[in-house]
Amino acid sequence: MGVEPSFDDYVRARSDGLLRLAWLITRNWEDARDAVQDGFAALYPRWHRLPEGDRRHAYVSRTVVNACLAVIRRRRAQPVADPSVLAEAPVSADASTAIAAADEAWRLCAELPPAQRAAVVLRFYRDYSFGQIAEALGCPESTARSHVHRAMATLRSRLGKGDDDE
Amino acid sequence: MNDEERAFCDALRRADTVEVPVPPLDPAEISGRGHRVRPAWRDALVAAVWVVALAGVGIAVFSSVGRGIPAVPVAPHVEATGATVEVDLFSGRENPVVEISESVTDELYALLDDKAAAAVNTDPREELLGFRGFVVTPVDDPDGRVLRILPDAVRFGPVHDYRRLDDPEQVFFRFILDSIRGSLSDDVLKAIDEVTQTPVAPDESDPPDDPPNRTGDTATWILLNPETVTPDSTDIVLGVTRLGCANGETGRVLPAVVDYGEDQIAIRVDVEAWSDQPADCQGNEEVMFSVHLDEPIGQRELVDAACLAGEAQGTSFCAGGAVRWTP
Repeated sequence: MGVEPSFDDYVRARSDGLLRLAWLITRNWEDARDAVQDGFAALYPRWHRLPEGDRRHAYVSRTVVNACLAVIRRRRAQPVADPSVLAEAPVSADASTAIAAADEAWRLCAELPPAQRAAVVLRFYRDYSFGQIAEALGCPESTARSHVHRAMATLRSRLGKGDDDE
Repeated sequence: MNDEERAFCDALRRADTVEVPVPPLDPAEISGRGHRVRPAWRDALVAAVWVVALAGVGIAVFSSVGRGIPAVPVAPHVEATGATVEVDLFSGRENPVVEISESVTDELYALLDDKAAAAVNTDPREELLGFRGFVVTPVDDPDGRVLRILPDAVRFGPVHDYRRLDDPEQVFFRFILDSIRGSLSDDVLKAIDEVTQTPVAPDESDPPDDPPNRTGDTATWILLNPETVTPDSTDIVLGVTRLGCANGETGRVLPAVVDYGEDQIAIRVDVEAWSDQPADCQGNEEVMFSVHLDEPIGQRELVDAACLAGEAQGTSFCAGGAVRWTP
């Protein structure tokens, strides 16, 4: 059994990845940083009691995802100075079909309800199974599947609508 | 993988090519917050409170630089002694002395600072009969903020500026009693009961795990219907969320502690203390909770006291500041 990294080492090594995950869910870098920091702060007092290895990574990710959803809930309760920051999106200028679809998927992600967005991010960014998504979000697996399938249906509809418009 | 799945994959993996534009996380800051580095805020707190008090201008609990320190939950991993509590019974035998932990001590003084602005000068030589209170003496500040906690008031301060803070709801008395109850013998509890006419001895009819007026864990709140709040409002509805890990449960909300200032009304809402059982750190549910104010809000801000200081401060729950409503 390998030696588990210290809290400090873990934070330094994993922060960027978790920040990106949190950014995809919150769509705001400051909120993402808050969420990851909140997650680590909550875990720190019992860091040595956390499961080891991949299970620890999964546990930390789950904590950060839930911190993201908590941040989003609070954000809804408070006025946001600049709503545009909620949808920072690196949209490509390339017009190829695949990239256009990805652009639309990116935009759509910003508009999805938070739990649905988190499910999509975990599914397609983290390659989580539906069971893992359900565990991370604290919902039944059927709900996790429903979140993802609804998002895909919405995207399919949008892409179809886009074709019609052209 | 179908087209929609591919589109989502392609879209989301763009994140890997984006530079993270926010400052890197500082493990020391995170771990310091997790452990609450106590001496810094406490030293500052003690200095600020006494400097202001000695200047004769009162304690600026909610001024911009001297905000009150709200309650901090009992941190189970911090068990060092924070203060001694002498049960001053005037019974003819030696007074019992017990210890309270740093976290309980912090919470007690935070509670005091939340309310200290309402304290008035009083005569330190005032005769006290019977039960003369719990005398709290911090271990690291024995000459400083000694408190005498009576069933209906807290007395504190240097002789030349001795103060009395009325406590008709027995918040302080109950807080300290609940903290030390397990260390007191039944006969001492009965003696307190007799002299204070307050039922403090164990009551067989009460569930033993439900002490009254228990001060619990930190929670933060937002106004659920801010658009309905006006300067005339005396009833507000909060959405309360437990700060710490608790398997997503906020749990039972304890009675709100409200401090009515000139410019602000600070409301602290704790939730029932979490057991020492391990808990997942998923986001906790938001619980609706009504608060009745004794006076209309008027031209005052509503402030979440948990965001003024303590472990909630600096978390995203308080990222927008402590003010929840502005007239």
